[in-house]
Amino acid sequence: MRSTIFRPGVGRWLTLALLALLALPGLLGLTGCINTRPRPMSVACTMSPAQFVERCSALLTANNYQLIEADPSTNPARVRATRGQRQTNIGENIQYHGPYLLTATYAKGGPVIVTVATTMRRGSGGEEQPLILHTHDEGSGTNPADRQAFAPIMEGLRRACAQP
Amino acid sequence: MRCTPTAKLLRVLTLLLLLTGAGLSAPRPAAAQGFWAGSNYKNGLRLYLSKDSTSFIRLLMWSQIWTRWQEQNPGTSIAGNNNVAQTWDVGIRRSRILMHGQLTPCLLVFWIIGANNQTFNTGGGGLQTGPDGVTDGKRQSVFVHDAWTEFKVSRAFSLGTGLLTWSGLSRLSNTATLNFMTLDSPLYGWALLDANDQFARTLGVYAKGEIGKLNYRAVLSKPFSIPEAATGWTTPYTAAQRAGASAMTTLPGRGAGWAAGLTALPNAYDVAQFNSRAFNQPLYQLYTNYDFLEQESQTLPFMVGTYLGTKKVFNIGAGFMIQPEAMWYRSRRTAAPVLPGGVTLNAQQTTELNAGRYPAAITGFSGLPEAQRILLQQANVDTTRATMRHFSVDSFLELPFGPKGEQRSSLTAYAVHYWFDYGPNYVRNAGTMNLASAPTSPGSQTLAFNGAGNAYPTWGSGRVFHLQTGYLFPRAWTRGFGQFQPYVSYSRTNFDRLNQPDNLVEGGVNWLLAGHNAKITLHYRARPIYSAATNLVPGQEGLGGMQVTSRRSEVITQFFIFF
Repeated sequence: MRSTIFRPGVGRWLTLALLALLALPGLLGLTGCINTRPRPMSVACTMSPAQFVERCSALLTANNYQLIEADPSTNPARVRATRGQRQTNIGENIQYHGPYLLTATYAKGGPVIVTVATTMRRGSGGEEQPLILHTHDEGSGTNPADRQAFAPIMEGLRRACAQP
Repeated sequence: MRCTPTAKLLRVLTLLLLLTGAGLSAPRPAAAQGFWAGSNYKNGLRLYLSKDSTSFIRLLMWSQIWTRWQEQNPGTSIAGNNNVAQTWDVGIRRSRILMHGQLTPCLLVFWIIGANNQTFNTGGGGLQTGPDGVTDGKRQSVFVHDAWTEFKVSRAFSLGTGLLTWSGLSRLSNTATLNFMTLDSPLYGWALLDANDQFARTLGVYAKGEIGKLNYRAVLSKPFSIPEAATGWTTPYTAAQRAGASAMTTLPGRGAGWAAGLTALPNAYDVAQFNSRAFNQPLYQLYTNYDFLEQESQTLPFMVGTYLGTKKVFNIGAGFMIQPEAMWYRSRRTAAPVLPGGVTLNAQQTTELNAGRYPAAITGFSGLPEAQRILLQQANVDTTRATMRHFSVDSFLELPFGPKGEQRSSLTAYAVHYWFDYGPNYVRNAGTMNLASAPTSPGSQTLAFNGAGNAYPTWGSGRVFHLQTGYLFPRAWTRGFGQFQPYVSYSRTNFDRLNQPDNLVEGGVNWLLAGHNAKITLHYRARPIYSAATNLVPGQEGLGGMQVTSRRSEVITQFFIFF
């Protein structure tokens, strides 16, 4: 029996190539250079830290976030909140987004810095640092459904900061 | 007895009347959502194991029941009745339970159990009690379809392993079965269906992920073994091959069901078949697509047929499926035919041999002494292994129109082009829920290349183009009556071995009573009938020259509920 079409040895290279293909995204994921690197968003602002905490907390609560920290006394002032996982059935498939951890910080004279991440678990305490699965920003690399989770917050902060 | 056109029309009208009557008699509440629209369904049965909803067990169950009227292929035998022209039946296309457990967003276990393709005559659990001595339709066997675990590292990379639906090649190869736009999958994407996979699943390892809007799934599988008797030859020449008997015999015990077309390696040059000795050769698969609009879910492998306007999606994808030595075929040992010493042929036999005819197909071959038959074949015939290589490009569009709610309509379209290479001249016939027990004259050449029942050439070396498109009418037009989505599909199959490509147009309408959760689909197909093989192709005598000679119709109504 002869094999003319597929020569011995080629299969090994194909296996190696596929294993490399499997391993590469894993390495990138593990090193955090694709999805878990910090991607802060900034909003220029002139209000006081107390106003920031008050308005940001109100925005988050109105958008189904649960506050886990809202402290104007720290420098910078910090608000942290989480939102639970949203699940949607699509036939056999399922789509879920979250849980999210949103952190907003502000020091007088600087911009409001907002970071958003999907985390392993929904946080429950101020000191808790949930494991980050992937970070989000307003760029095109973020899933639109994820963007919807924080877009109203960003819009609200921009409006609040634009007020004299 | 053949069905007259009037009788056919009466049957179709009766069916339509029954369906319409059922709808008209349904209560119609004032709410725009409608009586049928299960707005309270939400996300179904889910048992949450943590307060933050990230740990859960999810359960789904569904049944797809088909009622059919079918014209059968020429020479079809069903339950001891020869040359059946047409029949009707009720069958279970799918009946399954799905369990999906998520321990954390990074740990997932998935399981589907169920049964498929049970008819009154075929698809049973293996007891060979049918009138034709083949498997009958009773005691359908339930088996595990999917059983896999997944470990998520990041959005860009998850790794899983088990018995997988995860597949490469195309969207259709990963298709969901709960939200088809057309009646069912057109099958082309399940390129190994029950040949060396298990109902479109393989045992393997996969990686998947999303890098921005680029989605990928890569699979490395160990294909299922194929019984030697199904596709191979054993020692140099079996008794049947020595006698020159036709090798186009369907598998014993499998009738002309799903395995129809998976025939023994034929007594001809350059006609490939699956290789039962591929053993350690893995199956490599990849599918990748880029979402230009909303991103689709890749949590589970199942790719959506139509979103019914709930999502705006446009993507372009490409994929492949490659397995070294997956196929084999009989090849010529030398460029010119050889008449070995010790073999005596008459003038006609010598002419036929020199013309390139396969030794066992030479006139009067079976009359030669056995030693001469073996010498002649050993001098001229070899076996070559071939790599199976399939490639595809595809595109999916879901374009909703109008505001969310009852005014929303939507256009869904999907197009795919396949380049299939199963080795030279491979063609496989398939017929979903095939009722046939066997060809009317078992062991002889069938009256059509298709084989018996409702089979027709579905996979083969060559090219396939498939397009399906449908339009979902706004719910406001029908209110409590549900929603309607007419669709058409077009498939052009151009297989190397067949002398003529086929253009298959199908059509139907989905009556969505509660979205995909409850729907009734009416579908029409007129499948091609290819003529039986001729002796026109040298070296492939009795295996070539097939052309479309007629069409056979079927009307299928699917009753489908899942939750």
